[in-house]
Amino acid sequence: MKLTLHEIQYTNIREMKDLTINLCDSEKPVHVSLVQMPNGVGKTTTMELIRYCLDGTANNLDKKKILSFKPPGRAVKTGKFEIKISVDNKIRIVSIKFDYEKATVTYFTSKTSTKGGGQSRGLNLGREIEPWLKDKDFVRLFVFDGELAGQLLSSESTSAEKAINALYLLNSLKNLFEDDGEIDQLLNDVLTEGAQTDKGIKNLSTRLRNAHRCKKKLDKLKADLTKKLGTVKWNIGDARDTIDKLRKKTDQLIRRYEKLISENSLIEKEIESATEDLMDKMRFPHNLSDKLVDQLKLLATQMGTLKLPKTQSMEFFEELAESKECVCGRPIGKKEKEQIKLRAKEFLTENNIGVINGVKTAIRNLPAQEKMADLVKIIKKNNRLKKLNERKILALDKKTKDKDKIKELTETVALWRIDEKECADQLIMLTEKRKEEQEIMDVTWETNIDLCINQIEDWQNKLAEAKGNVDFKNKAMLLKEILKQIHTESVLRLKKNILCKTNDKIEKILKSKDITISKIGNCLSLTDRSGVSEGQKLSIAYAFLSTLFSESPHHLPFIVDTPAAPLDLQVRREVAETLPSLFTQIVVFLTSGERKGFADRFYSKKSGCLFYTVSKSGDGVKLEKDITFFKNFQSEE
Amino acid sequence: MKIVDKIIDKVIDDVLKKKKQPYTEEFKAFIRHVMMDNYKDYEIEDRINAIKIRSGGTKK
Repeated sequence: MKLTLHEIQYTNIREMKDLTINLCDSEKPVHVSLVQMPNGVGKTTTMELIRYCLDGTANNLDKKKILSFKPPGRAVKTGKFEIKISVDNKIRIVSIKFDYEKATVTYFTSKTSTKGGGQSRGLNLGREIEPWLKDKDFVRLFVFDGELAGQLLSSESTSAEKAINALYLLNSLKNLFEDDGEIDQLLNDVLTEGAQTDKGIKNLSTRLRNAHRCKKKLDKLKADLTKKLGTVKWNIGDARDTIDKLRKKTDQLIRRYEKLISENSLIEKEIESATEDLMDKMRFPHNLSDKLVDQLKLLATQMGTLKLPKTQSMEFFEELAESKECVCGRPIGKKEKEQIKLRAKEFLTENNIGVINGVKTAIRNLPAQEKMADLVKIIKKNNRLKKLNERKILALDKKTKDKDKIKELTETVALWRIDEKECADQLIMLTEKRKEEQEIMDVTWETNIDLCINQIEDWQNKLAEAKGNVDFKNKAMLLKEILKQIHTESVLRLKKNILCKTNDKIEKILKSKDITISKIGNCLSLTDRSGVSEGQKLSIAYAFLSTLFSESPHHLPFIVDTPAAPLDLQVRREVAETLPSLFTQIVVFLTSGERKGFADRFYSKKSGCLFYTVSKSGDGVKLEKDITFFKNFQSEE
Repeated sequence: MKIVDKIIDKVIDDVLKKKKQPYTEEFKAFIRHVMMDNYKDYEIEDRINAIKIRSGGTKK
């Protein structure tokens, strides 16, 4: 089967009012189409819609999802997404029409290249392609889902095995030999044919049909439980990772929070001690300012001219006047005596002069001035630090709300654990094959798959015996066994072959022998490693898928979005060199950040490359088909 | 012929030999039809009828 993508058309899909991306040159799809789109313009949407066009799963979309394609803020009633493809050189146009009023979708398929001509309702791509495309996992391999890269390495997943079965057409073989597969159905038809004529045979036929119905129901239950168990386990793993990350983050935050609180406590103590010192110093007014000290000194000088107290000092003058000699040693005569008595009044005043003299003394004996500016600086600085810390504490307080999230997640995980146990218990009851365990669990053919298969075989044998079809029944069973062995052995040998080639490619892309695949089981197992980086994961996925595609009987396009974002420059170059050689057509939706090392490898190619840029313009988008614009485009991200 | 086809052909040979079954080429053609999803019900019936049962009946 050869499939190519020719054109993508959007009408009223999110920001895309009316946009057509033509991936052809002279009606033929070009080898490499690079479509540059900033984040939020529609890369993921486009990938999703292309997948819906091929696997028909848009019919299962819920209303919320359908309305998510409606252009925001515009009153439009309908929208349309359309792809033009070629299947074994026959043109098909698949349209998904969105009714935004009723929140419904309708598929239309046109089998001619003329739009509107030969259009029929539904998805009808033809018998050549539909059996494979109905397998959602198959479509995800070439309309590449980035999540698949992670799943290929996840022990919970069966993606690697599924990919091999899908690409090497082994699913069709499985459909034949599986329980209730085509051989069983044919055998059932042969055994129950004409059963109406004999009452006993009719009875057996009815029982056999019921047992087949029961088996189908049990298989569906097993598939649902396995899927649920896988999802629950994945959810638990994911939640535990989140809890670990939050706990790590929260622990760091709590440590920072406690450090700040302790710092603030020290700062407060320093402020308290500096304030006490300041208060002590302020009790001495001369410490308050230099000006005050100067004023006080001036006051003391002026107070120097003040007089002596009358009651205490008059006697001194009288005694001095009566003395023969002055305190200075000169003799006191009559004339001096009169003068002392006469002028004594000039030096005498009221009694409160003592207080003033006390002030004078105090001012003269002022202690050395102590500077308070340093203390004020310390207090101010500490206050600033305290406020800053308080703001940080407040912010951290909000962030440590993650504690609530951890608690909430832990509770959810506990509930999931209950679900996990219930699912696992139900699965054990459903699939237990050991007789003793079956008896202990008290299961019957209506509740246990193994017993149901035995019951079907028993009734088939009885019916075959009654109808003389024993030989045919035995041959059918043997054919089933042979086909099953062919399938198992083919998968095993293919895996071995793919393993070697994948490891060669990984080494080539990553330029290292450190990362290798040791085994391809349900998933890919790494040699002596529990995990790899996102870029390495993607590189391994590219190496594995490109090996699968190179040997596959299908010729498919490889459609991928943001293929190089997590890769470093060296790996980007290798991926850019490797991918085109493995596919007949590559359509890449990328951001401007992926030009370096990836898109720039295609600039020099003179033909076989298209360079588109889709960017926001007003309330819609615009398309530029120009390599210079592509090279220089800067998004506003 | 692709390596994959060679691998599957070899597996068919090995399994049919192990199960002592005849008509290898026809069987291979049938498997190819099945894998390409291009077969009719009567082909399955023909294949069932072409299976050789060893004495002692089918081995489960």
